[in-house]
Amino acid sequence: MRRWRRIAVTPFVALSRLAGLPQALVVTLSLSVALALNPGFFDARHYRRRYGTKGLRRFPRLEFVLNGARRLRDPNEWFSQTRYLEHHPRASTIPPVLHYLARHKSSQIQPAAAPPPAPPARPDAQAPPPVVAAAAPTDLPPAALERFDALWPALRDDLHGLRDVANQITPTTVVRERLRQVRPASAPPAWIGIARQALADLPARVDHMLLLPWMNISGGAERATKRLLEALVAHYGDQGLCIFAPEHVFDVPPGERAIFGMPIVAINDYAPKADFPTRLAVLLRVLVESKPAVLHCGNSLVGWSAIREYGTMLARDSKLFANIYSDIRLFDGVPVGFFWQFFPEALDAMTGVITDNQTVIDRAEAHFGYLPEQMAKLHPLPTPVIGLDGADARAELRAFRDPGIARSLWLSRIAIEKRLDVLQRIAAALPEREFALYGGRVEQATPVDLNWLGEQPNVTLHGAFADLSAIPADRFDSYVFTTSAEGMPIALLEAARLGLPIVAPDVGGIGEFIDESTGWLVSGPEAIDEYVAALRAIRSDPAEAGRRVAAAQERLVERHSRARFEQVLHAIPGYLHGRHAAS
Amino acid sequence: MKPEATAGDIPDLSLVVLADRQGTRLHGTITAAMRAIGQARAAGWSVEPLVVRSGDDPVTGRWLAVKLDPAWRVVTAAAEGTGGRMAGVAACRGRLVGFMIGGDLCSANWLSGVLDAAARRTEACVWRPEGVVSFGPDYMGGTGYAFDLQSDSSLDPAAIDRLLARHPYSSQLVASRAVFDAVPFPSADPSRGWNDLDWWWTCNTLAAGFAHRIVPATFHYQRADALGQPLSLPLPPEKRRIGPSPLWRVPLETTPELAPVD
Repeated sequence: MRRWRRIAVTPFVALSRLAGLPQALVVTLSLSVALALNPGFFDARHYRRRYGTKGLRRFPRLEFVLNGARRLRDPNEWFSQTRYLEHHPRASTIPPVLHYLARHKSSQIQPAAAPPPAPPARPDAQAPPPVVAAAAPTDLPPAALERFDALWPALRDDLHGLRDVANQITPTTVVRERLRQVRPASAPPAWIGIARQALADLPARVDHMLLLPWMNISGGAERATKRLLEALVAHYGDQGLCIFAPEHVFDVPPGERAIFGMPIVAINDYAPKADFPTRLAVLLRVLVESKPAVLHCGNSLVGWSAIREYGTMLARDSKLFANIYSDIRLFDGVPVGFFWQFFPEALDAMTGVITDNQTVIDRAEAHFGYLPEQMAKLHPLPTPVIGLDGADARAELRAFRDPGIARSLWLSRIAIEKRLDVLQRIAAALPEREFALYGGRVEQATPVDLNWLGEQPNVTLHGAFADLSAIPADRFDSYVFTTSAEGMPIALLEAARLGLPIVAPDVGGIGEFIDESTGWLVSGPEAIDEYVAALRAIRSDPAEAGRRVAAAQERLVERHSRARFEQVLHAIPGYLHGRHAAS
Repeated sequence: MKPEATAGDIPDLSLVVLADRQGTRLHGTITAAMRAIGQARAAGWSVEPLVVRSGDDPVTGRWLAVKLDPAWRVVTAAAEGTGGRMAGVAACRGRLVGFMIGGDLCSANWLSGVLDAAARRTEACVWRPEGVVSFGPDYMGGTGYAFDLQSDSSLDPAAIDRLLARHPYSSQLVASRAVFDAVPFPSADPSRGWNDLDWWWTCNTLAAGFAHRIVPATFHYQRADALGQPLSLPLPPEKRRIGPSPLWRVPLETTPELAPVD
C-alpha cells in the first residue's frame, strides 16, 4: 500500500512528463488514488458545510479532486492546506494535500494521533475558521508562555514597524505561533560541574601534565612511567607538575597519592560513572583552562582521543607528547592499541612521541611512510632498571651461577599477548625441565586460559610478586620469555639483572637487546623447537650461558641505567619545561 | 525620560553596528537602529551612531558608501579577532556603548529603555533585551524561528554551570564603558577552537563582578539560518566554545558578589 502510494503520487511531476500527460490530469489521478488509500481523510460533510453545495460541490469528493485541492480548500476539519503550505513551501508545485498524503502513512493520517505539523491557519475570510488544536507543546514552561503572551501585543506592534525591512518577522498569526514555541531550558551537562571541580583541585599553574589511565598495575609501561615520574619530580620539584587521570579505571585512591610527590586529580574523584564523552569534555576544558606547557599522554585512551580529535588546537598552547610501545596485533591480526588507532592521525599535532625501543620507530616509518621531519619527533627512551637510586649500577648485577638443575623462570604480566600457550608447548616438549611462572593478571585485560596448568606437572604458577627481590634467582638456570607483542619488555631486562641466561622471541624491541652474544633469540613467538634447543644448550654449556649473561649485563649498564635515562630524557626537544627546572 | 542634561559633549550612548558581509541586510539594521535612536533622542538622550566595518566585502562597502545615512560614522577595523567590537569601543565616546550585529534588528524602545534603566543605577553593568526573536531566511519556509526570554544574571553555583554550558544571551547588548575598560572583548581564535566571543565575554564579565540585567519588554530580532542558529555564529551549541575564563575557577560552593538585582 505504502509503496504503491509513493509510486502513485510522490514523483507525479516526473510521471506526467514521462507519460506525456497534462500535469493537472496526473494530479487529479494521483489525488484520487491517495484519497482512496486513506479512507476517512476526506470529510464530505465538513466540505459541504464549509464550502457549500453549489454546482459541482454537490459532489464534494469529486469537486475537491478536480478543483478544490488546487484552490487550497481543506479536505477535513483538521487539515489546513494553507497552513501546510507555509511550513512546506516545496509543496507549492502540487496541492499541499497531495504532498502531505504522499509523505505520511495511513496510520498517521488521523487527527487525534498526529495533528498536522503546523500551527493554526490564519482566519479565512471566506468561511468560518477551522477548529484547530493549539500547536504549543505541552512541556513548555508555563511562565515563559505567559510572559510571551503578555509581551506579544508590544512585540507585534513593534514588528509592524519593521515588517518591510525584515519581512520574515511580519507579525502574522503564523509568526506568532512559530515564536510561541518557547524553547525550554535544558539542564547543563554533567561535565561542566566535573570540570569545575577538577580545576578547583588542580594547581593554578601547570607546566607539565601527565595523563595516566592507572598507576598501580605492574605492567612494563606502568613501571617505565614510574621511572619517568621520578625523573620529572627531580626536574620540576614541587611546582608545575601534576597528573590528571581521565579514565574510569584509575586505581589510586586519594589517600594513596602523596607518595608520588605531585598533585593527582582523577575524574573518578567526582564522577566515577561518567561516560566517555563526558570524560573527554572534562579533559578538553581542563586543558583549555590550565594550558600546560607540556602535556604527556601515557596510555590514556581519553587523552589520545583528545589529541587525535583536537590536537591541532591544543598544540597552540601545549607541547603534546605521548608514548607508543609496539605495533601490537591480536588474534587473527586485529590492529589494537594506540600505535594503530591514534598515532598516525595525531602525530602532526604532536611535538614528540616517546618509545622504549627503536624497533617500533622503524616500524612506524615502514607502516606510515613518515617523512624525516616526522620521524624526528620519535624518540627512543630506554627504560632504566638499574642504578635507580643513584647507586652503582654494576653493583646491582647478579652474576650467573648455574644451579645444576633444569629449571626456568617465566616472569611477566599474565596477559593474552604473553602467549602462555607457547610456554605450555615448550613445557610439554621438555618434561624434564621445571618452569616457574611469576606474574600478576590485569583485571581489565582479556582473561587468559590457564586451565592447562593442572595437566602440565612441570609448570608451577607462583602469581604476583612484590618486587624483584622476591624472585629466588638462584633456583633457576634460565629465563624463558614468551610473547607475541612487545616493546622493550622490562621483565627481560630484569632477568638480565638477575643474571639469568635469556631465551626470548624476536618480537618488538627484544632483538635490540637479545642476540647471539647476549642470549638466545628465537625467530618468532611460536618457534617451539628453537626454544627447546636453546634451553638444552644452556643446560649443556653453563659456561657459554655465563658469557652471554655477562654480555647482556654490559648492555644493560650501557643502555638501561638511571643515568642514561636522565641523559636521553633531557635531550628530547621540548619535553622538559624550563621555568621550574630544579636541576 | 532623561533625568537631567548630560554634561559636555559626551554622548549618553554610542550605538555600534558591526558590519562585515551583510550587504543590503544592513538596510534593516540601520532602519531599526534609527528608529531606536529616534525614540531615545525624543526622550532627551544623546546617541552617537557608528558603524564598524570589518573585512572587505564589496557589497557591504558599497552599501555603506552609498546608502548609509550621513549621520552615521564608519570606522574600519583592522582584523583583531573581536569582530570590530573593541575597535568600536575605542572609536566611540558614549558613556554607554551598545552593539548590534549587522543584519539584526532591535525594538524601537531598546535604546531608550536601556538609558532609562541605566539612569536609575550607579554601578556599571551590562544591559540585555528581554526577548530574542530568531527568524530564518524566509517567511514561507518557516524555519529558524524561535523566541527566547533572557533574564538577569545570577551567579549561584547552578547558574554558573548553566552559563558555562550555554550562552544565555544574544549578541545585542549595551554596557557601561567601564565594563569594556575592565573586561575587553577577548579575541576569537579559530585555531584554538574558541569561536564564541560573546559567550566568552559574558563569562569574563560575570567573573569580574559585572551583572547582566534585562530591560523589560525590549527585543532583539536576530537573523538565523534554517536551523535557528544566528547568522553571526551559525554553529550548533555543541560546537561553540570559549577560551579560558576565570569563571571556571570560581569556587564551587560560593556565589560571587554581584550588584543586587532590583
